[in-house]
Amino acid sequence: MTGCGPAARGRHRLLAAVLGLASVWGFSVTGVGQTFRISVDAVAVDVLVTRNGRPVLGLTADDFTLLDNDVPQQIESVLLEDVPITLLLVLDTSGSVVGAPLAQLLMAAEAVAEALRPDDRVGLVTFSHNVRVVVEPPSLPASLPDALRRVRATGGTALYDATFAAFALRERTVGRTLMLVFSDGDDTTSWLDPRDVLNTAQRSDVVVYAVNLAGVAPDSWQERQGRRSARRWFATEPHLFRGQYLPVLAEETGGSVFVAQDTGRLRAAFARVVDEFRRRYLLTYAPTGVELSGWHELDVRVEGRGRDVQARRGYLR
Amino acid sequence: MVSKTLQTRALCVLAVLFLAPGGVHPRAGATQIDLWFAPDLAAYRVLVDAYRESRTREAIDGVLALETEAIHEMVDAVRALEDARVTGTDRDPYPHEQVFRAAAMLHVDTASALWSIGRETAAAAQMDLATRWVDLGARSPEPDGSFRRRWYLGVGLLVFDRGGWRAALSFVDRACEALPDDVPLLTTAAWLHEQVALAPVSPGDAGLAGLREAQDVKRDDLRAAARHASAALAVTADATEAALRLARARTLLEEVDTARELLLGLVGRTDLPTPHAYLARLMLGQLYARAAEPARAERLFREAGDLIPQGQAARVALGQLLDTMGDRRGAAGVLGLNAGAERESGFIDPWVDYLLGAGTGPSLRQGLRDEVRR
Repeated sequence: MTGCGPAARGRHRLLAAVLGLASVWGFSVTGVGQTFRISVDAVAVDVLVTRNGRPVLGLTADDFTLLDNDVPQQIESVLLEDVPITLLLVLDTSGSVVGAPLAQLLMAAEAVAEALRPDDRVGLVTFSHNVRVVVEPPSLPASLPDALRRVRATGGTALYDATFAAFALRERTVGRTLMLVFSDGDDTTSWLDPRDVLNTAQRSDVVVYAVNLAGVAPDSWQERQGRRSARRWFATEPHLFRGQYLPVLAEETGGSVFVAQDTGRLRAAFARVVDEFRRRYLLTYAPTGVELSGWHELDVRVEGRGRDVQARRGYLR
Repeated sequence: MVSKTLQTRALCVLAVLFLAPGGVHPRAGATQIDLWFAPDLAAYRVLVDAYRESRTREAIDGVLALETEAIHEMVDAVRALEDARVTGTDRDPYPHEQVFRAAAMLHVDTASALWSIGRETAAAAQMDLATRWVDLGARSPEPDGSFRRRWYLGVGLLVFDRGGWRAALSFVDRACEALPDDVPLLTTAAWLHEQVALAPVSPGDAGLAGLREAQDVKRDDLRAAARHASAALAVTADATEAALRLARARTLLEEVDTARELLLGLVGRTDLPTPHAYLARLMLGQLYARAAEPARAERLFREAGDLIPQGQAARVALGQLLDTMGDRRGAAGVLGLNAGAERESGFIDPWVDYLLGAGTGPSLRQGLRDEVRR
């Protein structure tokens, strides 16, 4: 069933406030002024369907096939767009963005906050070698501009620790949670092993979109092959292939990596992230025929030629 | 270039100065030192004087106008003189050693200027000269905390800042050969090897063969880190930073039992500097967390947090452990504690220091400059 029409939209908004948090773990959640309860087994999967790179809208549950550990599941609901989101901004404020890049980054963040809807919420984590939860979720988007004006850039890059901190804050988010990470470099100072953060990502329903600056390396066929290999080796040697962290994290959570040619284009990149996130479907189902604990490989398919599906690789319970 | 005639003349002058009956007391004044610098190298001496008088830019520009080979020949000539090694004490050196030290610092600052404009080869040539000058003041045994020991450490950190990990490693490895009992140098070498071991490789080289090669290089560097840290510990059991680095190298080499043993020893001590006590608990806690002993890990992470309440690594470590154990509210609470609050101004977590170095290089080098300008 697809959410369409005012009544359904209202109902779905409340339900989504629950699903966003309860997807993997399932428990009672305080939403916007009320407490809701769903099955402890409920799982929500955030899915982007595209054709020729453009989101495909108007799909219903019948259009999707979802396998959980190779077992077909009954999709209970398909929600789109009308679900409020919590935007967790995770911004690199290390020494490399001092000056104009920081100003452009903050303007991009402010613009994206302005584009949010009244029932959306935000959180802000900044990081250099220090990780700072500047705005705790779920805060009103209007709280962001003041906080952004206090941000200063200096020091190293604790990217893993910062993304983990943002995942930890999912406890306090409402609706669907989008983590938008901006970094212009590799981690240099985190305590955590990136595999620990990926493990956390697998136990959450947060979708990660990352925005990078264009690399200086030529984008040759060899380079692309190298990146593919590096992504595979990341799990074995995360220190050596640390540049693959954000692509792997985005892939694990069903998100994407966008590349901005320069900091002047961050605003457009951020806007594109939120726009694309709103065009994702939220599929919910109660797993049947599979062990509840452990790793669940997900396979989401959609009817129709030329349609690409982007969803998290699986989840850990 | 310095001609053989001029070299010979310089040597003769020195011989007259130092081998005369009763000798010329080297502390009698700077004029004797002037005689070491034959006429066509007088200009060099002027530059060293300018440097000692804090006219650094002028001195550097002057050095850059000289051929390095000419300066090497002069160092050769001076090294050939036994009297050049009459140096007084480390704390109270004779004037000519002060000139050597000043020349060494002048070439270091010249190298730094060259690095800043990307002339790495020219910078390396200046570093060679600097090292030769400072080694003229080598003592046996080398006193603890001597100028030369501090020089190697401070300059090694400069090479790291300007020339990168590999250049610094090469410099510090050579320094460790020259001063094999120097705990700060050995510990620095362990740090550099650890960092080089974990440095990212280019995705273009990341095919299976590239991966294996990178893993081999990584293991070699980790073993070198362990070797240097062990050498520091062999000098003194008080080398607790070296002990931490040894434990980490062992952990990364998957020699977990020896790492745990080392860390247990450190955690059991009450005389550790607080940052080291903090890091020992974090590292041991991480081993327990990986060994599925979360209760022990949690206790150690909390102890670390008690030692340094603003410590970020402890907070993140505990938060991640709680999250993994299913205590998501606890994890959010641990990470949210500092929400919106500014940390103590200038606070740097000991873990960041451990990774990036304490940033002591600039102050060390300034101290050395001040000494040669006395």
